[in-house]
Amino acid sequence: MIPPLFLEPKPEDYVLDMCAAPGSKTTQIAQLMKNKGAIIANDVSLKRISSLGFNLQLCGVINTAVTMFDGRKLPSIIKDHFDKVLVDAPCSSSGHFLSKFPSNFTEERVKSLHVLQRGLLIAGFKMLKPGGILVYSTCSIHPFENEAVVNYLLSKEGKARVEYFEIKGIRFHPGLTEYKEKTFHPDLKYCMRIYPHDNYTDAFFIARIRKER
Amino acid sequence: MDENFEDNIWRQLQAQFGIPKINGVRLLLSGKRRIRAASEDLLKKIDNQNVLSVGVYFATLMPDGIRLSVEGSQMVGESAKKNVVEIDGTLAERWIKGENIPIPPDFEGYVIVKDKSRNDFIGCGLAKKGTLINFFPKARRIT
Repeated sequence: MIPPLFLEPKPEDYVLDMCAAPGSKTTQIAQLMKNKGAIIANDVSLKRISSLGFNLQLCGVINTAVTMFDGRKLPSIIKDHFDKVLVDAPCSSSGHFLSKFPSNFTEERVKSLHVLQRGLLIAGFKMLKPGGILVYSTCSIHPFENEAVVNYLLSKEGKARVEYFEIKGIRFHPGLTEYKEKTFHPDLKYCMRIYPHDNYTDAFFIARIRKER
Repeated sequence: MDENFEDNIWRQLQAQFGIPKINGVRLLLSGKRRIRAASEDLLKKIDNQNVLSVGVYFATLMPDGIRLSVEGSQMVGESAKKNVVEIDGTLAERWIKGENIPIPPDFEGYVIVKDKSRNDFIGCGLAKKGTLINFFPKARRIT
């Protein structure tokens, strides 16, 4: 999967995976870290944490601890600061529109997810060390769940910078800098939008954000 | 973390399977009998109060020895010097279906199971009079 590659985790890193269940990205991060360093894999749902634990066990991941908190409250619970943070946020899953369009997709749901996603991203950024990297990703194509969320972070946190990043062989489109009557920060063009026809995958969105020192 | 407990477990693993202590890996008691393995780096970082679980389920303390989990056998299998039974692909298939399998009668007690055909370790069984009693987890059996 692409978000862990954007995170570029190193064996010595301390990584937070804020919305980790069911754990496919966590196990990939652990593999990239050669089972060294440390990962905190957090999720809010006990049911989903069961599958996270199962997958960590299956892959023999020994560098990961599992926590169960609302990600938005994590900064007040875990006082550590991380080299890397992944916020693979809950979303409408509208990026799966070719295979299975979400039956509960409504504008109201998108608005409510937008508020949750903003909270998670702000919390994740707070827990990042200066110089550290945060990756924000969703499997949605809706700008309110993607560019608008990152735009909110840029407006609130002066030290947040969106970085251009690409992976060889992956076709993508730049992030949007405007949508309907709304204009976003110009750096949002450095985000990555992937559509199904690009690489024969579902659609998704990824932003790589650095906290300036 | 009880270092005496950990040293005891490594000593038992050495006696049972000829396994030396693995650098960078710590063993912790979880509940009454379960042992979990976690990286040293991780344990230096975390605050236990906030954590649901660390690392992986590594083994269970049984009255007659240590029974490794599948992942435990994979972590230490390569460095095990004794009590490793090598089986062929057909027997390995029966093993991961959850069946007890025949093995040479000279094995006794807990043994690590190695699938020769895939060069992989697939858990730990209890050898008794030429039969290897299966503990392969039900959730992972191929039926």
